[in-house]
Amino acid sequence: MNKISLSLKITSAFATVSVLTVVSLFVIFSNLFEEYMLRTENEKVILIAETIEPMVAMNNYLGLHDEVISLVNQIASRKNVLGGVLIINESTLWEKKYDETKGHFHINYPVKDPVTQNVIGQLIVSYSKDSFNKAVSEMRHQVLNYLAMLSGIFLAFAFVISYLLKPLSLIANKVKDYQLGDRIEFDQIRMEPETEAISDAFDLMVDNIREYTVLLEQYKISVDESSIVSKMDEYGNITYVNDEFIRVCGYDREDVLGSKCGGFRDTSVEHDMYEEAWEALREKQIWKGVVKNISKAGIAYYVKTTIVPLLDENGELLEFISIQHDITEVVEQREIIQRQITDETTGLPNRIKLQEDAQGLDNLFFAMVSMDNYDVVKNYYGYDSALQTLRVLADRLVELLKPQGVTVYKLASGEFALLSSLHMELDWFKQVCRFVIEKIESTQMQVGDNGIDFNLTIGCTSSCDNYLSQAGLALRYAVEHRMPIVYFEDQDNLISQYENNITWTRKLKEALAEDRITLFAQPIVNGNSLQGGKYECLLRLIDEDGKYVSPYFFLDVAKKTKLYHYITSKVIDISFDVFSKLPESEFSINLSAEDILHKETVSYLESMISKYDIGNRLILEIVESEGIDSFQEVVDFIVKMKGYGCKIAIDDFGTGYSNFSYLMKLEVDYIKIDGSLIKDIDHNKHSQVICFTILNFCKTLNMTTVAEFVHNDEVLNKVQDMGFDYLQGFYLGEPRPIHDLLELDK
Amino acid sequence: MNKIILKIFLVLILVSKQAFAFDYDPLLIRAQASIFPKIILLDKDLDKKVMENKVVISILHGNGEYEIALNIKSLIEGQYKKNLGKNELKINVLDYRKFDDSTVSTAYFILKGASTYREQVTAHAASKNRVVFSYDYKDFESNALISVLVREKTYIYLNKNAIHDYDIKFLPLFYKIVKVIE
Repeated sequence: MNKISLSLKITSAFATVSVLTVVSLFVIFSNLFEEYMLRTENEKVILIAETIEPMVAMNNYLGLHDEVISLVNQIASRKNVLGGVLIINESTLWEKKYDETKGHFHINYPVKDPVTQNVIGQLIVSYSKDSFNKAVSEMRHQVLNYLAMLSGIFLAFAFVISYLLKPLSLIANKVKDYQLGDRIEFDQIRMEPETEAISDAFDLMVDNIREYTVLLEQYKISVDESSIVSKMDEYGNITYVNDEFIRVCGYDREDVLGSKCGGFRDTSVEHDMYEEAWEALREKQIWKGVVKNISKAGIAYYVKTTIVPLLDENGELLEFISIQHDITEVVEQREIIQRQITDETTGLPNRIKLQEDAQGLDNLFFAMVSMDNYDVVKNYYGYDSALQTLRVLADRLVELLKPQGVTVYKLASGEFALLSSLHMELDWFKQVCRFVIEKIESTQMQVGDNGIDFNLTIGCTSSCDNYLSQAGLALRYAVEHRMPIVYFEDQDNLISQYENNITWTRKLKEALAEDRITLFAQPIVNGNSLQGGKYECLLRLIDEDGKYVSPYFFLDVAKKTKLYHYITSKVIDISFDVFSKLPESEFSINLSAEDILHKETVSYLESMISKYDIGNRLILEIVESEGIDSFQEVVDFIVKMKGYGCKIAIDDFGTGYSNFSYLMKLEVDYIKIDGSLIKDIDHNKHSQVICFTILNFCKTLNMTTVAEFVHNDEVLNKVQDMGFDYLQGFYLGEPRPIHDLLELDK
Repeated sequence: MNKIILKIFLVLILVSKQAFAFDYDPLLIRAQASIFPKIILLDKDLDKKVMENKVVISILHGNGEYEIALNIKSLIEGQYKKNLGKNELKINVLDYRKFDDSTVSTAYFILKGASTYREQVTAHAASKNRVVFSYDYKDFESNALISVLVREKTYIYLNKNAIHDYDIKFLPLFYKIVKVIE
């Protein structure tokens, strides 16, 4: 089908617009003209009626009816007045009939009494439309003449346009036959300034095409050299691959061409991704992604892939081009990094990732969550179950906290961390922590075949600077004080305690290094004779100024560090050394639960007892106030020590559990009643009753009793009256440096 | 004898009456009786000329015209039923000889009478801006203002020479339908 020429289109468009304009104007003006003419004719008749009505009315008023008839007859005789009727006081005074088939219109004009101005009748005048019709007809005739003239002008205009545009069609024919690399010759074409500009533009375009073609060829070479390039038909069959493609996949080109795109992918993973990719491509969208392929040698390699659908001018799919970059090395490094920041057991991000995430945050909420009974689970159910427990707890924490905008991290052992950078109030985070504890502790979780109750302790902070240490301190404080949650910001003394611990740790280290750990000895006398022969060795630290410092200030700190066992060893060293030189005296040293449970300490004690052969003079005071959690270990220890001839004393009895059944099972030799029961025993009935009960019990079991804190004569008399076997206190003998005993012995 | 004398006397009376009487056209009298009151209503200043809410028309007659005057009065009253427009209509029949300047009416209708009498009435009426209708338009010589003549059709005559004297303002249309004569 031949297309309509531009000249014809221009002429047609111009003609159409012009004709439409003229016709529209004709219709508008014709209507306006007709309306105007009709109104004019109407006004003309009204004017006639208006002119004679007063005279008609006056003549009628004066009864001059013949004059009235004469007047209306004058109107009727006028050209175009077809007829009319004069009605006054409801009687027809005059009427002229006419041919109603003729085009006409009529007006009704009221006749008014000249004196009263009341309407007394009507003058109806029928007027011919002949003049009107004639005027309209003449107007239309003129318009048609104008349209005819306009048509002639359009024909001439079309010819001129056709002539002017002829060079364009010649240029088009030249351009249509253009082949890449040709030159287009426009010499034979009549040139106007515009057509000359078009031919120049085509020349420039041809030059540009040539230049771009060269560039495109170079781009292709660049892409081929730097990327893995392939093309697929609309069905996904590979139609082209570059050398780099062949090099990376290891297949021969013949094997690859015609095969399906994606035929080299690792079929074990990411099947959905391929489906999604093809779905997007079928929708003519660009797809980007990372694809894991398998080479002919069976080696996995990763390619960052961009597949672009190529469309024809109608938007129909022609083929796909795929440009890929080998990023195997990057992916492998990323996996290594991922492993470094991920906890292997739980799959949660680890401490490294935590520090990375928290870095630079100007607002955070941080909590350290400790699973209280993790060690129990590990020891009781085994390591695998413990790991499984951690996984279950990790999943549960993520399930609870992810919706809250809180990220869960896995720290060491049974500890987790919670981090949120949401701009919320601290109360919100406290609520989140309470929510976690409530949810975790209210439900027994299934780990393998076992239902395990989780107990959590949380230490939190909102500090951005030292969030790890502050939350750690808060957690430690919570564990020590058996509190479920401690907020660092709520504990004003945590820092001072922490600093105190650091100070005393330093002092202890220095004291141990400089041999400033020493012992005091306090005599224990017979309750009846008040004769000595037994001593309790009491720990003292000599500070930088040479002053003796009570263990009250540093023992708790020592227990939290590994220094404690060095101190115990030091106590053993000093006491054994001194009392090996005092063969007549018995002596006691204090041992805590930590000492008894610490194998190295126990071994060292055994070796020293053997070395000095001093077991039969050694009394081991076990502090009852600390409670005896690991009961069996303590029993085993006592049995072992008794094998060396040692005697066992329960120190500070009456302050801890005061469990008499323990005493029976532990088979101790001495019960040392706590000073708090002794110090006012002379007048405190309750203390007297308690001590009396203990005394009876001990005598029944053949246990020797020792009253501590005998500080005045009244107390001395009382405890002697009550029948305590041994007595100890400042009133009977203050603690003094242990080496003084050697001097005294001399 | 007496009868003869009586007959002669009667004949003389009749002859004398025929010799001096004016011939009044009954049709014209009827037309004038119909038109003149309506012309009174065309006076723009009629309200100033109404007397105690009455339009008073005085018909002035001479010797032997009394019956004509009464007839005219009867015709007017028969047509207008004692009301003219919103006012009452009162018609007086008066002999010229009894007319003086105290005889004030809204309008005057003068019969032939004697010209001296007619002029007295017209002068008086003009001074009071009262319209004077005359039976005979020839009486315009006596300065009557308006008259009506019936020929092939009815004409209303207006005395151009008297218009200025009377200074009466009729509705403009009135001037379009009248014949103005000098």
